[in-house]
Amino acid sequence: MLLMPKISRVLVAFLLMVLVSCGSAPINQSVNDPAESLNRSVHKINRGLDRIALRPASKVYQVVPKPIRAGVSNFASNLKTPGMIINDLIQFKLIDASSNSARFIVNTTAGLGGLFDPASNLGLPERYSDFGETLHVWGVREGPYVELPLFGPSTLRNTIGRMVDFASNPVRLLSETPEQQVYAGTQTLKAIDQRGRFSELVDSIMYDSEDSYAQARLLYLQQRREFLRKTDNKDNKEYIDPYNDVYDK
Amino acid sequence: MRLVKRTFKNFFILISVIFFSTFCMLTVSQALEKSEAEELIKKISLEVNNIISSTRDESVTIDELESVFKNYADTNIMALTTLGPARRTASSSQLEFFKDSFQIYFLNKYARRFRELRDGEISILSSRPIRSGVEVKTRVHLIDWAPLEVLWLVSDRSGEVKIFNIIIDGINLLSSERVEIGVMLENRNGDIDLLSSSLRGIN
Repeated sequence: MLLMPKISRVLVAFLLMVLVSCGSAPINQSVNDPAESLNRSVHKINRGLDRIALRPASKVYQVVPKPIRAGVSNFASNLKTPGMIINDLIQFKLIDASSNSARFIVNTTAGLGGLFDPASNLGLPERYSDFGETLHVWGVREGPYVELPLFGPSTLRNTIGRMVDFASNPVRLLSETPEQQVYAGTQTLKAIDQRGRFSELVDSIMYDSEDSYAQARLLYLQQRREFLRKTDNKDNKEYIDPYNDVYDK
Repeated sequence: MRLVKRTFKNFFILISVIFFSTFCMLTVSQALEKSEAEELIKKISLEVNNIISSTRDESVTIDELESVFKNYADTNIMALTTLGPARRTASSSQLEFFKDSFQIYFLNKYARRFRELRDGEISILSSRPIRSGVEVKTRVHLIDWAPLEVLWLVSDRSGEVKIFNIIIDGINLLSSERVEIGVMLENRNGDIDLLSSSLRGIN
């Protein structure tokens, strides 16, 4: 009987080792989109929503003075930090976890509840993480590409990640109904602010491109995979060589 | 015996010198490549900085930014690689027209983006050799936004040291344009001349 806790401890240690030694899932190079026709219909809806709601809202919101918009976005970001710390911890990224923790403490206190971002100036920029990344680190593969209604480009793995992050968000779980609404409200305003800041870029993808679906898909996958490549410390990528492509064949 | 020894010794020294100098030349020529590539990025950064820091009409600024990238980007290779296999069946005059049109499209689409730089600040982090050239890793500082990691792929295979691709936070410009130009060509039933006119803004 005395052996039991010891055995279970060994078992836990063993499982952790297996988990870590399994390593990250491979990073895909190509586009895997078996549900393309469904995704394209969702994209059409999203584009319509952007045209009639998000884009005009972002134009209106730009009227609000910049410091106020920045304050709201900072506040929204700060509330996401505890969730990132949890993901850092379960990925065994202890430096990221402590950096994000210090950031959260500084911005919540000195930054007046997160309205300001003094931590970035102190050398504590946000070290982004989410549960989609955690799944990747645990060895779960990317899965097919998905375009989500409202939220836009994603993958199956990231869709699950989003749901887990939402369900397990400590800030949301620890707060009452009115604060939850404030939380949701500031997150929405942050998204509207971002749409405004990147207006030229987003417009060029959504409305100038002849295939906005394919462009959004490529952009999303490239950016997400680059983020995961950084997570895995796999930085040096070999590119397609256009000179070889054109002249040497 | 001594003579043999001395000859051996001299021979050995000679071989070592040859080896050493070849080694030096190899490493120096590679280092030169890297520094040449970085030099180009510095030059671009400086010129962009001068353009955006002088307060002038926006259209003048955009025109000047376009001329910077016209000088320092190898738009010919970008055009040919984004066109894909269709370049093999096109006539040389069609290709010339296409390359010219692609340059107009490329400059019009991307050069204006560089207005968003804060004081044109581009700091070089590192560089490494890649196939056909050098990748220069930089951090680009933006107004009101977290800095971006921008990789500039530089080559001298056109005869001059020029940029042939830009990768912004993992987003590869040539990959995006391959998709875009591919779709445009498909939408025009493979008609390259029609594609070229569209790229020039004539529909």
